[in-house]
Amino acid sequence: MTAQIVAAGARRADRTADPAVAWLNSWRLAFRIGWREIRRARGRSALIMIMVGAPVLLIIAAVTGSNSGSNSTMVPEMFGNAQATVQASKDGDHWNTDRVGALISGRVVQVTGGEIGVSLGDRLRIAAVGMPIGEMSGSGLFRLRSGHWPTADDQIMITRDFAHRHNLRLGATVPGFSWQQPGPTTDLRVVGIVALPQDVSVGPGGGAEVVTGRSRMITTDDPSQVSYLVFRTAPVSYREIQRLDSHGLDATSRYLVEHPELVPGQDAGDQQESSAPVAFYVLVGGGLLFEAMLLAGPAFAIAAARQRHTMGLIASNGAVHKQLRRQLLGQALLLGVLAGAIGAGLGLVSGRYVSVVSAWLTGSWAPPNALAWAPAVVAFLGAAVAAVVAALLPARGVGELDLVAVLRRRPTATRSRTFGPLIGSVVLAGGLAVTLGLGFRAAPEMTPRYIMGGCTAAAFIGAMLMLPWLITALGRGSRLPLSIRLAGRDIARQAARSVPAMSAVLVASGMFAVMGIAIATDDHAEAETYTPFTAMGQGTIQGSVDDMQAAANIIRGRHPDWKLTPHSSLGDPDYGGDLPSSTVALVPKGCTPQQAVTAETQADRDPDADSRCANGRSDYSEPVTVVPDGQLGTIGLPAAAAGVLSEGGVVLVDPPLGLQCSPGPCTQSVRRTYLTDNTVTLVGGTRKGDAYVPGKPARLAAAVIGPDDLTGTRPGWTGYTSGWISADAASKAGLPSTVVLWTVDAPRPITEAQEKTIDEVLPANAQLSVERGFHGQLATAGRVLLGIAGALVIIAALISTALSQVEARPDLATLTAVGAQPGLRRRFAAAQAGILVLVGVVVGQLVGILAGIGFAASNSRGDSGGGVGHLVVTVPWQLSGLLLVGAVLIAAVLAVLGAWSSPGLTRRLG
Amino acid sequence: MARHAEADIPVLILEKLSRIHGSGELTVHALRRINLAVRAGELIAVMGPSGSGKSTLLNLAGALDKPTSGRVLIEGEDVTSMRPAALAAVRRRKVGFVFQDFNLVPSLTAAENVSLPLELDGWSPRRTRQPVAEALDAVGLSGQVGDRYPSELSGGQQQRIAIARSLVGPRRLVLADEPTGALDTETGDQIMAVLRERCDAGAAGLLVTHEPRHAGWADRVIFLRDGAVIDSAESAAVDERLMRSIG
Repeated sequence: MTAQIVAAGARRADRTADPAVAWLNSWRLAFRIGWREIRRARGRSALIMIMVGAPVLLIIAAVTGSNSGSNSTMVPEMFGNAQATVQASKDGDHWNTDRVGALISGRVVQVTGGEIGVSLGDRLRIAAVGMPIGEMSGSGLFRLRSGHWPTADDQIMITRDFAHRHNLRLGATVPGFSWQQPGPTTDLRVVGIVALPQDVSVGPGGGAEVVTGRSRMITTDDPSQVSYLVFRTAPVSYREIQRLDSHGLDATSRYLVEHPELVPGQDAGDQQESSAPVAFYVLVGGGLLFEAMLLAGPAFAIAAARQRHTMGLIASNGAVHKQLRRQLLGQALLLGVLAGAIGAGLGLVSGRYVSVVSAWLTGSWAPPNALAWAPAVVAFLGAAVAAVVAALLPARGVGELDLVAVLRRRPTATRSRTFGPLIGSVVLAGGLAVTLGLGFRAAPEMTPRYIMGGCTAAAFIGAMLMLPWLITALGRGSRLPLSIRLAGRDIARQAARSVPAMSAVLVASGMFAVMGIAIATDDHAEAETYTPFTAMGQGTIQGSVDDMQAAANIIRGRHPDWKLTPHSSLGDPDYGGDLPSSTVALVPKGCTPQQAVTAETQADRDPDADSRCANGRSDYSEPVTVVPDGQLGTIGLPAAAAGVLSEGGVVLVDPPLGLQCSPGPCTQSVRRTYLTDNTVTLVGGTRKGDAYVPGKPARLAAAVIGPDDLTGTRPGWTGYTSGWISADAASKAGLPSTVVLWTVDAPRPITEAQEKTIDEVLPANAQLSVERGFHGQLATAGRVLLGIAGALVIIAALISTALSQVEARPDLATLTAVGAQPGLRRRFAAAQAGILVLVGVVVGQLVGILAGIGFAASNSRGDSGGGVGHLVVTVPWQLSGLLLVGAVLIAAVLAVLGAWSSPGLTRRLG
Repeated sequence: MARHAEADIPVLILEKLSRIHGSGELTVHALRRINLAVRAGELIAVMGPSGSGKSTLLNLAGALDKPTSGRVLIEGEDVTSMRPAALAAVRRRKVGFVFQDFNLVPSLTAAENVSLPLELDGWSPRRTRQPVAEALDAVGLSGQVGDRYPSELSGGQQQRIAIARSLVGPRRLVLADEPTGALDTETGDQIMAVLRERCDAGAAGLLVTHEPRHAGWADRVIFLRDGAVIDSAESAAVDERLMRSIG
């Protein structure tokens, strides 16, 4: 009988759908159910979407927001509304609008950039741009913020910053003059507040503070500061550009900048795209998405728990484990795609206009940034992946349902796993051992660093795998107060929810520890090698020669009791133009003075030029400092060298102070190269056109010392020199010199308020710097890190606690029904949040501190890139302690505030 | 009541079926060597006091649980030693459940709940339309109900949907666990009538109930106590047997 039954059963036709179609239909069903569950649980779905989408938004906004360097973004700032810009690269005086207009069709408008003199208490040189007044409004280079466009030549527009600094309003009168051509001042009336392009390095007028129709009042030494804008409808072709170039003009077509592929020999890849540091954003973006994945995990665990009965129904209708898992994974994919799309979209929009807004806030204007489509797509996909990965662990639990218990709505026991925590402990120990071992033993090169990075990541993963052990131990405490006992057991029971949350806390606090140690150690190392630039509270003025003089005059006028001293170097070492106006060369053995002067100046312009006779600034030198008479004794020279200096000779230091030789130590010898019979030959060169004409060479007595021979403590600004010569000796030898620095010595330390006030009235190309000692990054960066880590930790704890509170409602109602005190729910919530944060932060910081010590040990032993050559490790214990205590307390307090204290006696839903 | 005389091969056979929970001092004999056969067209009612093993019997019959010993054959296939994937296939194609709480998936419409086993079996939604319509028609529900969600239906309608789902497509065995427990008397009678109709049309049914009235719809009633069959009877003799089983 049984055999007949079995045979009959086997004969029944088995109608199975095609596997591929079945698979597709299975996913279709999963998405359908998933989408409806998403709509049913709107709050939870929104929470997940925010957690996954927010990192995408931030990253894409940052990448797009920093995408201001592409050609397409710079075009409006370069051209305004013009189709082309033309500059006279040489013979600037030869060209004018008519002559340029004869070579190209369209309306040609001259724009002059340079400086204008204004008298506002002090005589100031102000960057200005000049343009015919009738062309200003249509040029596209300026944005009028208030007032009106100039209608006469004696009307000007100024920037908001300039108006604020000098307390000028619309209608104010500013006496103006030509800085290079002395003459009477002209009263210029302010009629408008204008915004110029934010990027001062592109386009005509960049960096200007005054816009005027009086171009003749603007002076410039640089012919490229005079531009001709070509306005017309049709784009300027490559042939027209070539024609202009053939006449010695430097022309750029808007159309060709936007379409570089049309330029023969240039492809689209040549154009400058995003200046964003890709690796940085990948790292940060990946970290944020990883954190989002951990934060979303508890929400998916809750979703799985809430849908257990539905899953049981589906299983009772014949779903296999895979199909059950797909229900949750389908939801996760839908949520991830939605969150990624919305986050990327909002990120693109906000990033596109962040430069517009920031420019507006600073009183300038900027075009929208180019959209970062590729990163947006990557981030979108990353969000989808993060959501699916976040749902993997809960989905696995769904696939292993106890059908009978689920259908009867009975609670089921969680299986504890041994394998994972065991592996985790091995990985954790191994990862940390390798990181520390390499950190203390290996040289700080890249390959060990990558290995250390990978091992640190593995250590964090190992710690996360061990969390189930830890939280199981939490659930065993029997002598603790009831609320803490309940909280610990709830955390242990709901591992699918609490482990991801605790992992998020662990990772956030661990990374905080690693980065905190890196910054603290860097600060320590820099503090060790820090040399104050000048005495504490005293200042230096640096900038162009004329602006420094003007700045000195301004400061003297305001503070007559301050001592201002100019300091010079031979030649023109800090020239701002294309070629130095003068140079002084040490003549190497075997070279003539002409060769030395020529090679000196050629070396900068032509790296391939013969530098055999060049001791120049680009090769092996710093300028020779001219020491004012009366200050010869302040240098700290050995006696013999001091004697040479005071008797009109030269003291050279080998190697030059401040010179960075790479790779390896400096090998060129001053003594071998320049010294003959204890003398050296110096020759000055004056520029005539493109060439330098040497003056009379001076053979002077010389002494060569090493850097360690110098005695006494010297201010930092003296640390960059090849040697010294007295002012008297330089003058007698006919050697040209240039003021490179002014020192400002006040009777009392210069305050920050004084420094700020002075900066506001200084010329644009001069700056007062006051020495205030070493300021590390930890103070600021530490606060930022603490804020971010603390926020992530607290958010993770509160999400898990809030979800737990909802789930525990029936149990807490039962406790209330049997007489529990009203505050028990609050204490339970506080205990949950506190335990989660405490365990996560302690474990995370332990791992992070150990890993951070390894990295710091490796980094500090390097001789470059922040290393000091010996072991330095600094752990910011205070910050770590602050995170631990602060996060626990804040999370507990917020959990209390979020928990209601009087639960209703609801019917217990099984 | 008409009895449908179909093929003699039972749709469901339980052979010496036992189920033991726990061990040592906590051992519970939920079922003790149960033998039972349910043929096509037959409706068997299972009655007994709480804890007698009625639901355990149903869970084992529907391959939701595995017996400690014995065999379960569904349409001739021994499901006792099947792997989980094969058991799921049995639940998709051969066995349907009707629960006291209706247990419809709340996020699916009535029609989608009925088509669920077919879709899980790889059928496209279009292909399921015909069998779903037939199943709904067989339980007396019109097509318009199909587009509504369970929350928009009455208890009786939901239970009819559950019955339709249990017998959609090729399924021939329905296992009903107190299907009228959550319904009023009149609706409960209607549901029993639908169940009876389906059995008369060729399905085999195993019904767990504690209502003698509803047991009266069955062809046969078996009485469980402490996991063992203590008696069985034709439905007409239910009252007397019932008194004896719970005495």
